[in-house]
Amino acid sequence: MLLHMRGISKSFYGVQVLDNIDFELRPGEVHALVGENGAGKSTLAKLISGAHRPDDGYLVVNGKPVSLYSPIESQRMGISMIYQESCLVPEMSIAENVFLGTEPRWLRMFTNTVKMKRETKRILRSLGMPLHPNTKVKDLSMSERHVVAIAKALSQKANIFVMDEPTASLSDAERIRLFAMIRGFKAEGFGIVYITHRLNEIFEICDRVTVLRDGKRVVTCKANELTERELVRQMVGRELTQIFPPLSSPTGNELLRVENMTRKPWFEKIDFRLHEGEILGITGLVGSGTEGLAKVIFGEMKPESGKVFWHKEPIQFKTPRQAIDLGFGYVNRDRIESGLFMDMNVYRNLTIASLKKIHRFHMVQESQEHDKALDAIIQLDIKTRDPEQEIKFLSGGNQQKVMLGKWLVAESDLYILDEPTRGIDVASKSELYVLLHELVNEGKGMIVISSDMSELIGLCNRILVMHEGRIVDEMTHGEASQERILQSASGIRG
Amino acid sequence: MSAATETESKSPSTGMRLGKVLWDQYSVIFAFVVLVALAAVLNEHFLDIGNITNVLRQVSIVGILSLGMTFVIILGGIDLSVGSVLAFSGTVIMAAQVTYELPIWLSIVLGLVAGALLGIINGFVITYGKITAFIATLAMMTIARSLALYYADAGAISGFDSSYSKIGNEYMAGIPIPVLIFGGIFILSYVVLEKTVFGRHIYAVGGNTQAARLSAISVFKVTILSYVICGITAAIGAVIETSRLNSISTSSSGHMYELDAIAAVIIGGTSLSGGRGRIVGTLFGVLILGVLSNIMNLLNISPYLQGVVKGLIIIAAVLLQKRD
Repeated sequence: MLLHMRGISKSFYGVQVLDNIDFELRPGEVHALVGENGAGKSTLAKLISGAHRPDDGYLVVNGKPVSLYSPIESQRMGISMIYQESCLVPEMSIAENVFLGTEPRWLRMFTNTVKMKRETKRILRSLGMPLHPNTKVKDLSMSERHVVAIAKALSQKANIFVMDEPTASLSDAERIRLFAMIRGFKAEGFGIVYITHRLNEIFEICDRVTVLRDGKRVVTCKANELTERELVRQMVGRELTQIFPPLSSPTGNELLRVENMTRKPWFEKIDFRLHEGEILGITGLVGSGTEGLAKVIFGEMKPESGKVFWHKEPIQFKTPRQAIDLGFGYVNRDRIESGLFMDMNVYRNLTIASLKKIHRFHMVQESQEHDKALDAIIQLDIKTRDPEQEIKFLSGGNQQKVMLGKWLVAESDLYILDEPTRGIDVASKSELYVLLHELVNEGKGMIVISSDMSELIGLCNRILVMHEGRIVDEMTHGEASQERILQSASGIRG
Repeated sequence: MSAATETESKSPSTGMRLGKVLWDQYSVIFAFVVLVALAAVLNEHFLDIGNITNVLRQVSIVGILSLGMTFVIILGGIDLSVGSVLAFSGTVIMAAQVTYELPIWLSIVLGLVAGALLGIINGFVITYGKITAFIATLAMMTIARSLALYYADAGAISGFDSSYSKIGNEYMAGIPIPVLIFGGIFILSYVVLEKTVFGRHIYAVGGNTQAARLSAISVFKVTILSYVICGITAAIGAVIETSRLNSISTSSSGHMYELDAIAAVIIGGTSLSGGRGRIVGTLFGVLILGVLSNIMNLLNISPYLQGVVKGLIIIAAVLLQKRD
């Protein structure tokens, strides 16, 4: 047995997050850990990695009981953690990050940079990502950073890997490479604790599944003994019938038109229209320019050329503020770096973009503010102990809901959502989809940028596929299929 | 919402959590109460009205500076120039009265304008020049002091109109006027920071500048305004300082005040990384420093040794406020 946990309990600020959990990991096993947001998955992972100490229960790693519960101890015992939000030092190079704390040396004093770079290069190549070891991490994209985090874990010669949403920011090609790598680990007798919201991955790569619900273990069984439907039922505790609400056909007027827009190196010559009541999906592989497109539409980045029309009137803006004044709302993909105010409470995060509408003589009208925020909390079913709780204590999925809620409060007319369901569980996703449909039924427009193809196919009236900065394919809801999107996105089609 | 109430009822110790919240928010007040109790025990004259009034008057100048400092620190910045800005504004005030024989009210207005102007410059260098606040205000610290020194040839400028010294020395309703000004600016700062949209925006920019930009907040405007407020508080400090002695010493007035102000803000629980802090905390931070130096004087502790205690208190305050 690689890892053995018995009777683990943990509470924070009086809230029981884990309650008497048993968990084990066998050699050569990929053991999935699933559950809704706030079920306790991430906390359990942090216990394994030594970032938290359990209130009760014990942990045995590679036959030795854990006593100190420090990250250094667990690393020495052979555990390597690949966090959801990777902890890398942006100012350092890839090689320095990979070997941070475990630098190879000569004469015991000096870092052996040559060996460091050589090893880094080798590991990166084995992961199919031939980046230069000297590149600084701050110059990498999110998915590249993720690969560096995996490389770091590999360099530490661990035999137990904890992966928290490892595919969240990976393209399909990268995901396939990661899975090949995981299969290699299994063959070598390593164990992997695999935390994910993407249930299809469980059936693809995992041997056993443990389901957590409200901090308790619901079930542990072989992955092939469960259907996806049963798994969802175990996670949610009730039957979940359909994930996507039925689509209504948009009949509204033109809301947004983009003509011949170029912003190198992100994208060039982009044309599209969005109508009232329409959900437009935009997808593409990493580096296809989708993220840049969202930023330009929202005024965060200036286009080199091209026109934007809002209700058929030409518009031009230099800052996001002007876009927000027009009624745009943007849920960006990085909620920690540029999405939320971690030191503020839930109320204030929800109303921060709408204070202009709820002040009198520059004084915030707090009762009005609380009413509006509470509406959003109820409508989105944001799970918070109380609305005055600081947002950093909410689970990732609930934080994501707050980001969307900010624009509900602002009564935006156009929602630009960049990976809106990243790190959100099935039940919350389903709720969110229903909510998005309610919004478009009120005549709002929505642009959903996502790398989750099934999400786009189920959710969108139309889907645009980008490849190397250009729109290469456009399909209606009826025409869309995973094969077609994938072919277009990888440039095979058309 | 059902799950929220569920966790509520499951939680074992609401009392403990309440205690934690109270401690997070008000630990500085507890510390202050403990300190006052200790002071009262150590010296029977500490609680005399005369002594209390004296403490309050002594802290009022640095106190006002600390209030302005709280704005820029919550914004995620810092202002090292307040002591020098005080000297510069003081020079403007005294020069207006003495050299140009302008009326007192006008000299005060000019002093405040000077403080605001230097604040605007700080803000511009930080936003437009994209220079970190530490560097930008460090430069302003030497520039403002140097201008004052040059104007007065490193000497002092003394006034002749004794009615000006009323501001710094007289009482209203038994309270020294500087203390009243400090109290008034505290209330104003509290309202601006806690109740207005602008105050909320300061917290937002300090907490996450990028997210603030994406939430329709003009980071530029908020930053400039915060440094202007800080500059104005320095100028108000200059008014009190100059009127107290009816003179400005260009070399020593305001010297090291910036460090006392920063210390008070930190003791008050405001985070140097921005986005987190309370103006009430700053008020008590100021009072703690004031009481501390008063009690040490009463106990005849060498003034040269008092810095050690102050330093230890700063460390202790930050340690107490650290979260897990």
